[in-house]
Amino acid sequence: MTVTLALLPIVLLFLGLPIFALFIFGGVASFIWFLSVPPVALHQIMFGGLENYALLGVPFFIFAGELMGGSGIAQRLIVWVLALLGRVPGGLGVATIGACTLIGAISGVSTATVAVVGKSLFPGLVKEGYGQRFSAGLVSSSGSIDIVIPPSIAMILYGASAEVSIPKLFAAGILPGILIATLMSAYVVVMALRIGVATGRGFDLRYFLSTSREAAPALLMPIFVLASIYLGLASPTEAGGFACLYAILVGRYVYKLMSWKEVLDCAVRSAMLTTQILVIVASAALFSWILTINGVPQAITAWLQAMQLHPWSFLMAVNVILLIVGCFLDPTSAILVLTPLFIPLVKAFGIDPIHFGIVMTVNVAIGMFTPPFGLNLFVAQTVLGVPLETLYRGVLPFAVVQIVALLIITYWPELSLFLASVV
Amino acid sequence: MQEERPNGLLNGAGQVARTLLGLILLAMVLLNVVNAVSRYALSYVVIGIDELLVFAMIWMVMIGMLLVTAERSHIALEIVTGRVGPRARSALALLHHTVIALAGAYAAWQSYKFVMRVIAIQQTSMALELPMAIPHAAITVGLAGTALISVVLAVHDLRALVTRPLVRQPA
Repeated sequence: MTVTLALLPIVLLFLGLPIFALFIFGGVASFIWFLSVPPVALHQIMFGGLENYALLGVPFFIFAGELMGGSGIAQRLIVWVLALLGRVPGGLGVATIGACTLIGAISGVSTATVAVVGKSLFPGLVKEGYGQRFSAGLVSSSGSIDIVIPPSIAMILYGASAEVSIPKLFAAGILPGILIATLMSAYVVVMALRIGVATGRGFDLRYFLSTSREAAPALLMPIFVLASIYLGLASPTEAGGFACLYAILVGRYVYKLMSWKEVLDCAVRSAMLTTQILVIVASAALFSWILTINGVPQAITAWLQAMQLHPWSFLMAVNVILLIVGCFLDPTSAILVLTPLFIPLVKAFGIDPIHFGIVMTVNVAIGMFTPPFGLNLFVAQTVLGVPLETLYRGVLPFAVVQIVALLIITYWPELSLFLASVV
Repeated sequence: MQEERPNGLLNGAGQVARTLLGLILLAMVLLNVVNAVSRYALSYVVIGIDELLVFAMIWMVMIGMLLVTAERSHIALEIVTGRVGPRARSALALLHHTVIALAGAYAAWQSYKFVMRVIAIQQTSMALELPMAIPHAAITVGLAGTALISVVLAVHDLRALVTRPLVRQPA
């Protein structure tokens, strides 16, 4: 069992076998070598892993994110944030974070946010004197806020895996997301003052009003998505579908930037991205099931309980594990493999699973831009044309800032649970 | 797993499948909106849309799985593959596709047996009373197709491995 469920998968993982294949291989090997359950169960478990209404939010929020870029909504939001924050020291840097946060309130895809915001703001950041390294680090790390600000694919996957309310998770992510954005903005302001970056054009009310008018349909989108969920008008899945339709209509008939062919292209890209995530969901269901029926989570729980750890030291250990895992694995795989292992422990330690979901989400969000394999780094490398070495050095201070935020979020559960308790 | 992909039949079929995927997603968005509007605005429940949406998603993912496999764009840890030479990369790709073909074929066979059972007992869905063999068959198609495509890719990788020079030529 150790060979089929741990040793072989780890070796194959490092040899670059696709993650979905790793899980299927582990499952098949277990059925052939030591499970007494009929192997047709394999089908039932994989089907069951996908047959989950909550997972419909994944394609919808990916599609909404893709449509934002093509429809002009993301561009309008960026211009509006710039007009709002023009006077703040380090205005353009803070606007980068603000734009990522605002786009994160619609999109569920961090990499798409990095691409859209990076293309628009990176040249300006460099021109204003932030330097290539700082600017690239800022763009790559700010995109990860998207994962914490609802709607979040990571939260949907955690909610489905841990059987926790997804609207509550979404609500719980709002304040931690704002905390991360605030701390990052504070760091950018301090650095802008230290480097002596020129401030922007200053706040011009007339310009702000004109950009607000232009951006109104775009600004309505996050309000529309979040309000529909929290006013009980729609489930997160339904809100995701509405967001897609809204973006298509705005892009097609208000900003007139999208042809039907471009809508279809966006749909194809989104379906492919969805596939990459959901095949892992189906195959991880199989792997998790085998771990569970072999008592692996229970054994880990018993082992840790025997160590008489305090909840705070358990959370610290989880943070360390997730930060290391996040450097190598994508958020989907990390959440799907580790959630079934952690949840019994979380319950045993009396930790709220909603709070734990946010801790896990923030960890995987940091993993999106930490070297060597943070996905945002590769997107930034392509979109910004910056060497990986520069990006690696650029993201480090922002990783420190986000780890500080993570510690606050970990040891101040009320920050996450306050809004979740209101929903 | 970025490698050159084999040309020919796969590319033509791939284009059709990609369009189909996009259309399925667009149809899902429309169905979802119809469902929500009728439920909340018109207080009328259209029976079975939730079910249809989930089944459509499963088919979309399984068709997409074939394309993602053919395009070698599954999520993977590229710690080793990104750092080795072309020959070693071909050897690793050959290993990957052999593993996927074998595990996928076994899983597809079990999935096929399950679908046959579902057909035999004539199981239908709760709301729409659709034969459950329809959504379940998506898994069989996805796994079997992935195994087949992996065989094609493995042959391609083997050919690349054999034809590539042992020592890198100077530029």
